[in-house]
Amino acid sequence: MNKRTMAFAGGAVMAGVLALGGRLGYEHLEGQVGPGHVLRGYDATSPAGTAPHAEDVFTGRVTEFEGRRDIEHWTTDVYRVDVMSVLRGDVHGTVRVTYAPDDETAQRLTDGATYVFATRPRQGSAVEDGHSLLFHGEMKPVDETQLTAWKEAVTLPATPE
Amino acid sequence: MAVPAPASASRAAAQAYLCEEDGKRDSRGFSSVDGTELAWDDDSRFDDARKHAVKVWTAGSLKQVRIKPDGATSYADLEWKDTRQTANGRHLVYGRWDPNTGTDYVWFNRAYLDDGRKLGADVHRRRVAAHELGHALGFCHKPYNGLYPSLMWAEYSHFADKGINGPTEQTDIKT
Repeated sequence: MNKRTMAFAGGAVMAGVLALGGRLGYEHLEGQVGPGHVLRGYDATSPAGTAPHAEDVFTGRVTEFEGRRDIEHWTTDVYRVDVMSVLRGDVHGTVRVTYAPDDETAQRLTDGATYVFATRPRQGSAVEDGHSLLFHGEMKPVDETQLTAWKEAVTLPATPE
Repeated sequence: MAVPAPASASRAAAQAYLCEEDGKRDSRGFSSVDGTELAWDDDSRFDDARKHAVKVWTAGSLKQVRIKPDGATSYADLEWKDTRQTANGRHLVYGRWDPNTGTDYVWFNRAYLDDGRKLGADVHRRRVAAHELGHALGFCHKPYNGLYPSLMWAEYSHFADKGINGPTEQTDIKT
């Protein structure tokens, strides 16, 4: 190998090292800064829009916020919830409800408060006994008005996939 | 962006670019735009949809941001990507703009957009791509109130049923 070839090879190696270092540094910085925006095929902000897509609709008391996790590139809050009453489905006991908020400022559910949850069972092992929340409107502790709206909503026919 | 309404604008017109979320407005501060450029990389099979999205957001007077493929010496501001999921929060999720500290992503959900699926046609994929590129440019979801037709409504059928395939003159372009 002559000097010219060696210089060229050395330069190529150096360029590769710099490129790799830059890429690794860049990947180190990569991470979510917020939930972003989601385009859906249903109105996730109303009981009437959401209930036809939910397998389970129930009231449940939040017993613990287990934390915010990045699950499959989605910022997701995980709650332990005691099922209180069931409007639709076969859910019972204590479950985990996962809530991937559309808005980075979405409120955190309050420990001890009871909410209506419209969910579908999670798949996979990321969250044991997991149910994904389908409703993305404002979550307020349940009251008679909400309960009435959800009871009416669960009478609507399920929307085919 | 975050352009204030002109003083002469009517109250109704001034409401047009408010976001669905209370108190928020369109903002380049929450976008994929770097300066006045948006450099994209492509890891999606839906090239036609991406081309349509870039076309409708750079047509006419919409030339404030240069949307271009990333080069060999730069990192992308935005990457077009595909996923295929219906569970774990992705039920009827057709697309998503996913901001990150590095490259942001636009996700197409092939579970609904592939040929033979619920939205498995170019016309649907193009609308989804145009909507998501709108987010990458800093546009938020617009309230669905029947007054201001918008590509940026959060539920797909709302703008699809009106045949909206790109930013609307009344709502999206005025912002």
